[in-house]
Amino acid sequence: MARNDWASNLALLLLGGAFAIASLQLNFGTVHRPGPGFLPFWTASGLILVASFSLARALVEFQRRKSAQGERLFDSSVLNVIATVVILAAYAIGLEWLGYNLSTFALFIFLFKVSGFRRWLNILIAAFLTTSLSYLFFGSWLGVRFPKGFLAF
Amino acid sequence: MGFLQGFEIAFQLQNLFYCFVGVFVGTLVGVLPGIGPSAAMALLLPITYNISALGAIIMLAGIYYGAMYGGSTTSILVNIPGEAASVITTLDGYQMAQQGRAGPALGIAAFGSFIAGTISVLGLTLIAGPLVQVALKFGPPEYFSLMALGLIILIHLTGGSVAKGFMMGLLGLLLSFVGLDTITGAPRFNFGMIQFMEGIGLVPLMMGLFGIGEVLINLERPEERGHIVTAGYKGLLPSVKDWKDSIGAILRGSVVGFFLGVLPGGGTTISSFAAYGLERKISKHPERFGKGAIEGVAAPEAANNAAVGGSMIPLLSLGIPTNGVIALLLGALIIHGLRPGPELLEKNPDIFWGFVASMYIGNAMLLVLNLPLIRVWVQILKIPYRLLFPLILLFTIVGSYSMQNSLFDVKLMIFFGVAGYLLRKFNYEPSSLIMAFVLGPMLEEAFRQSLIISRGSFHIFISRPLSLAFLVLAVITALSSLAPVLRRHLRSG
Repeated sequence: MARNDWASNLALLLLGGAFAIASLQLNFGTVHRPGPGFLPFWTASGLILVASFSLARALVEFQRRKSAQGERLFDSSVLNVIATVVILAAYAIGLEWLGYNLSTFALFIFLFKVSGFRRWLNILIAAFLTTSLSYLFFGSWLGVRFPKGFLAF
Repeated sequence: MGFLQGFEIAFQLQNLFYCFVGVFVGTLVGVLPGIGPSAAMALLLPITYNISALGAIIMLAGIYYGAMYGGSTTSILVNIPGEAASVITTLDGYQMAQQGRAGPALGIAAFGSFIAGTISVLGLTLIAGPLVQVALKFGPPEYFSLMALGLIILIHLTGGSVAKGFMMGLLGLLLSFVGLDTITGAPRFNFGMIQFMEGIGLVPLMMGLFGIGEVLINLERPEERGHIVTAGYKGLLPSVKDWKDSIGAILRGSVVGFFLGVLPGGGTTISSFAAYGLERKISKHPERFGKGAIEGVAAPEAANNAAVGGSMIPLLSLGIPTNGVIALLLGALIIHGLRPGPELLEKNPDIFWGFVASMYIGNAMLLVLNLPLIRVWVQILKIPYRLLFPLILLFTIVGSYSMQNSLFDVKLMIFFGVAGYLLRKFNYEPSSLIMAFVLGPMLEEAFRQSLIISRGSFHIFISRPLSLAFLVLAVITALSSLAPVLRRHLRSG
């Protein structure tokens, strides 16, 4: 069991707790005639049980290895991940307002920059081509109706 | 409608085209490390919305067995497995390549895959029909017990921590309960959001966990690109001696792979390891293994392809997936309005037999694709991942959006993408979650229907022999999962 497992176990324990509480607010039914909350409650209880057991083990392990040099779960390369998630979230939020073509063009400028393209002209050309081709493929050929945005474009 | 009519359907031009696209893309993702068949199936799912259900299943299954073929190329030439199922092939495949025998290694991997794939589809043809007749006698208690058994075996065999496997299974079940209750119509866990009334979509969930999750984890790693062995892959035809050394391994690998594929929780990876282990055990010269033994390439490559055909049997005849990738295929079939199981053969025999026949054709296509195009695959191996990931992200975004033209689904997919990344960081296996998510509604329905039939008596699950047998197996599996943990606990305390 990894040193950092207590965090994931705790998160799953809380998630199980939230589902268990929400299940109790549903019609639980009876053992002989279960309602919509019956199986979710027992499933959530199972998750709580396993997560609690794992959390206890992970905490013991954490204490034991506290002084030792533990493995690092995240290093500086996580910044790439965070930046990509932030830009994806911004893209999802901006997609309706900016429309598919503009927002996808902007997204690809970022992604190609992250992926190591050096020259801005190359980045702009690659982003333009990818956006246009994806629109032709998905929008025109497969008939996906993309959001047009405030420019109706 | 029967098997021969299935060939008539599979040979229709559009179905041949979907089969070709599936096996081509499958080989491509098999060749490229960092993209698995699950992610590829998730990515291509939106393309199948506009095609027939049969075309969709032919293409998606083609990706699965195509990836098994393609995975060997990277294992042999670069020492990096394209797929988890080809990990074991690196041991002898790369050694053969370094000894200037990359050609025979690639050749025997392709021929072995073809022979095993064909044998397993033959098994599928012979077994699936009779099994459907048995499955028609199943009631809700048998289905509940069988699904519970499948889930527990999958968790048991996913590797790593059993507790983590169980937690993923339970979380998958909980996520599957979101939305309207199928029996009473009561909304559950929608947190006041109308978008959750119909439940969490399979597409944003799997695209997030497998597509975005894999991209994010790969962004963190330095790019793995080993030295590509380009010498000695021109003479692809194995010699008579190579055939003599390999044919037994191919046949044994086919049998091992097929049966492990049929079992719940079995799959391509386990099959390839089991077949390799068997060959080493029965070999007169086990010391040759790991140093370029051709049987070490033939057996696992045959086994992982045979496992694909085997795993289709429970899916098509019982409607039960035996591993995470098959769960994705089941989800895709449900999206196309089909319910795999005994009813599929009765109500849609054209789809059933057309699909089975397409697997014969697909295996033949792969043999033709793999050998002459080896130079193309070698060139593709040189494409850096940093150029691929923007395109993968684009596919996931458009894929999750296009299902219902929903921006909410895109946001949900990004959320699950982050979740998928974190799960991998903490060594959780998302395929257990997906399998439980797909089985959840069926499991709950079977459970509650059983209790309605029995007027609330749990006795129904143990009074029916098949249901009892499945439950006993489930309990034995669960206990055998817990045994090592308890032993460790007792030893330390």
